[in-house]
Amino acid sequence: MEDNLHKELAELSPLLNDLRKKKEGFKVPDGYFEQLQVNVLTQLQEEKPPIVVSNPISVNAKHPSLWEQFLMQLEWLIRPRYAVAFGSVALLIAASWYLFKSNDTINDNCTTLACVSDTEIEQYIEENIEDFETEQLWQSSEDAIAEVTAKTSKTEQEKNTQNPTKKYHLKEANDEELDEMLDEMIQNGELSEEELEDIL
Amino acid sequence: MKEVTDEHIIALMRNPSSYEKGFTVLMQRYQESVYWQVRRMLNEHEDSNDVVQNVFIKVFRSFHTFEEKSKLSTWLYRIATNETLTFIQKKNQKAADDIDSVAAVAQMKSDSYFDGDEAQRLLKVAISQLPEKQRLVFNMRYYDELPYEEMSKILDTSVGALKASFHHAVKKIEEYVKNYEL
Repeated sequence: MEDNLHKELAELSPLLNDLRKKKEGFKVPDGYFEQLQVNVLTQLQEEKPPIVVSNPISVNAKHPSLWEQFLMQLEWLIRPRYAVAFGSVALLIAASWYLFKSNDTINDNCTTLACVSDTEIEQYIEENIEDFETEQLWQSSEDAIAEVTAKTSKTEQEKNTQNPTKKYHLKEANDEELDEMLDEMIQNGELSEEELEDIL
Repeated sequence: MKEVTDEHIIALMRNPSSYEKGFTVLMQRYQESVYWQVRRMLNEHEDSNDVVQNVFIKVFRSFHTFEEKSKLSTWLYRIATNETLTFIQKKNQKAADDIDSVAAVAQMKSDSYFDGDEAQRLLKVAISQLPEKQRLVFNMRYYDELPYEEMSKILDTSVGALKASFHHAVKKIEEYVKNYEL
């Protein structure tokens, strides 16, 4: 190309062609180019511009080691937006696992009151008796009497064949009638004194 | 010492861990040619220094936009050209556009970073009288000896238009030098 330029200039302007052989005349301060690089890098470090790397192809690029790749992945993970997302998902998984595990240990997938044993209920009531209102206790004792009555219904049915007029109507009975009925049940052996104590 | 190639520089700068190293190598390879390109347009060292620093800062920040459709040197020349023209436009807004030729010669004489002879000084003044684009074309061809094809990519101008521009510039300069000598 120099030959072409030389030829081109020789034809166009022999004067300029001759001048080209002389020293240009410009000069720079001593050590300027060594300092130029330092100055540029210093400016860049002060401003800390982002390095954006696109098209990560490489012809002769050194392939990053496994450790460098791990560090790069780690750096990616600890970027704020990814860290928040990653943390949220991890928290959600941990909470789900804990709740699932807790349910397993408490009642083996049983969610009804029927699964709770009598002993556990009695123990709970004894420990929390003060939390129950009188109305609740009375309702419970009525239920218990009804349960006992149901237990004895078979016996009653058998006796009804001998004495068909004898029936207990708890809802309609007053206190005296109730006492009388309970006495009668004890005398007839339909209700033990221990059971009565439990009821009351 | 093994010569550094453009491919090696590009590969280094495509990798985040070696980006700065690649940039340092790029500067070592191209800082002088970029500086002289700018200096021939601006003449003064201080102005040239400011522009060259801006050029390399821009290169550092925008290397990811280099798509390798052209040579690395072509891409650098283009950035340097744009920065230089921007600087000239800003400077022209502050100072008078037309500098008297006698004043231009005096200015060159007082420049401590110029030690050429009278003929070289006259040539520099003559070049500085050219329009900006024509000055770029003349410098790239006359001093840097760039092929017209590469100049075409840098300046986004056809080869034919560049040849015509160079020939016109040569004639103008020759005329200026001859007249001044007379």
